[in-house]
Amino acid sequence: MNNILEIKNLSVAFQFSGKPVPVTKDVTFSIADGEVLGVVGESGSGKSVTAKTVMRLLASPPSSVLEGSIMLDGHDVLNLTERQMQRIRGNSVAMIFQEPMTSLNPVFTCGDQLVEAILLHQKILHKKAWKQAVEMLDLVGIPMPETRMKAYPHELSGGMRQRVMIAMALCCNPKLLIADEPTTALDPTIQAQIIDLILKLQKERGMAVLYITHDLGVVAETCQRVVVMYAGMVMEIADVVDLFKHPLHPYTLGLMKAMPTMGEKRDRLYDIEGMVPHITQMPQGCRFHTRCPYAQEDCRQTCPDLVDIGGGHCVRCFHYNELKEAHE
Amino acid sequence: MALLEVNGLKKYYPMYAGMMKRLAGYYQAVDGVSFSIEAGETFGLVGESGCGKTTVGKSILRLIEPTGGKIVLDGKDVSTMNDRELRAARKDMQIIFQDPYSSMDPMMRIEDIIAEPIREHKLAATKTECHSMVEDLLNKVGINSKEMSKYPHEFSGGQRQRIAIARALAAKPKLIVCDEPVSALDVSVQAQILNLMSDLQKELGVSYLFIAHGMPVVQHISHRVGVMYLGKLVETADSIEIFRNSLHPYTKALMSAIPIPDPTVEKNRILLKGEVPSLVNKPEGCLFANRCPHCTEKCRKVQPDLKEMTPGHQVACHLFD
Repeated sequence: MNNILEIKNLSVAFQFSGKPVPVTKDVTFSIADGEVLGVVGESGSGKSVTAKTVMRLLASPPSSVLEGSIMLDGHDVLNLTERQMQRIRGNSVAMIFQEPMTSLNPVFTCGDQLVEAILLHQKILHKKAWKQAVEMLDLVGIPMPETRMKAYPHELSGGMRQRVMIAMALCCNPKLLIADEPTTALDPTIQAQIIDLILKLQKERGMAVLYITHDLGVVAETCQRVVVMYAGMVMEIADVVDLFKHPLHPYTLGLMKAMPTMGEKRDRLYDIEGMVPHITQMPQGCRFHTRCPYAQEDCRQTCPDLVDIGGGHCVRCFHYNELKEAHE
Repeated sequence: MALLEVNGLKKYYPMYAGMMKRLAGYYQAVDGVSFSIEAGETFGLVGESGCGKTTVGKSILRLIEPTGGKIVLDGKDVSTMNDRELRAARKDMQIIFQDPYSSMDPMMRIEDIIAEPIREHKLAATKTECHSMVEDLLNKVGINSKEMSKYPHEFSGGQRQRIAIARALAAKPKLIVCDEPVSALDVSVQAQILNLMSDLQKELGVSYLFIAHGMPVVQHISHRVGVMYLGKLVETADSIEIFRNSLHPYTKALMSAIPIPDPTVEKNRILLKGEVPSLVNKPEGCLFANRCPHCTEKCRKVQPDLKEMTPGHQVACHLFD
């Protein structure tokens, strides 16, 4: 199978008081055609920065790519001109964001914005583009699509707005959809509807999805493979069933234990001590060692590599065997 | 007797229309909510945005003036107090807000933020006593007391929420209304704050009204849970009971919408159809009728009341008449 997206050793830096400080370091993962890949991590883990670098949406300066490469559908993204990138953006890759309120333009109707996106990439008449936009709104489950075409974003609810965003993202049939926390701002019942919609469209069109979230529950329900990120680095990559059954990185395990479980009463939740270090004060060695209950001397000295331990399960930890034994 | 008794709490907002601003109806944000909280107990209030859960919390503290209903805290009727009495009564009831970034004055030092309730209610005789009380509070919530001369922006979200908890505890309240205190926090920090809150409850015997939209969090921290839909309580039960044996169709749909962190579990999700009805000029009958899979003729005509099914488990639904 071909990979629609391949990210290799990507390091992105931001300017902090005049100096470039790496925000993500050595990020490596790929997405196969038609695959749903989840990226989980807490705030500051670099998941959105990675996604925006793929889309080339980060302004430079203040951001800069220190090293690494991104191959997207056969294009070397980091070496394209802005003009070439524009042709790819929205066409072979599209993105939806967390805030459906702020990602739509408040002074244009939903129809105008959909038609604009279609006309940018296809040489067709306005009338035909309008018809196509109505079909898209119908596809994403918006009732009375003709009337909603003339509605302004503020006239729609949060869930409806996110549907409009999905319609816009899909109107040029992208091969890869990047969804950056698309349901975080929505209510649970609406979240369930939007997740169902994304998965339904993914199956129908066979497109790949890069699903960014901080919610392990959402990951378990949507993704086939999962990338766990912490403090700008990939800590673990595994098949979703494998990851939940045998998490091998102490951070992954900690995240799972820190979530309250339904129907079960625990006196206390497991908490990962301390907090994510500030980007300018990253510890030496493994970036997680300051909060890790398994940390030993070697963790404080050197940063472990991301090693494939078989079956596509990769982990960045010297002592994953201890967790492995605990599972058995 | 319960520490807090809320009876038939109502909050209506008048809606005006047209050029002459004539009264067009009332937005019934909270319509007849009743519940009670025992001393040392946590009552969780869940529901989706717009269901009125925050309005309930703020009405109890009278940060919003309720339209009707009775609120009795520790034997005193809060709903009829005048301003002076209310100021004194606020010592017993405090609040923690969702957003730790906007709930603190950025120009005040942490010490002053926490000392404000102590000074307001004259709980310390001298400045040194006040200072040592602030020190104690900071130690209790896990913040180094050496940092008390810093400003809020120098702390992370989780630390700020700890400071907000210290401020709420400063007046030694009997009840703390927690309005989505962990919704803005990351999973690992959320666990820290939830643990801190239950530790403090055990130590101080304070009661919480815990308002949130995330069911797993509410269920974890609460002894009893109430589910709200469009300004009304539709079901209240013990926190484990409501998960294992939920009765109301809305509670069931809400439960089934929660993503389960286990990829091997088979999901049978109840997807709700239809739109949430407008709260202005509400329909007669059950408010959930237009989205309910079990709706009958009676549901469209008669509004169901909360009825006790088993001890401690109440539900407002005609299916259980």
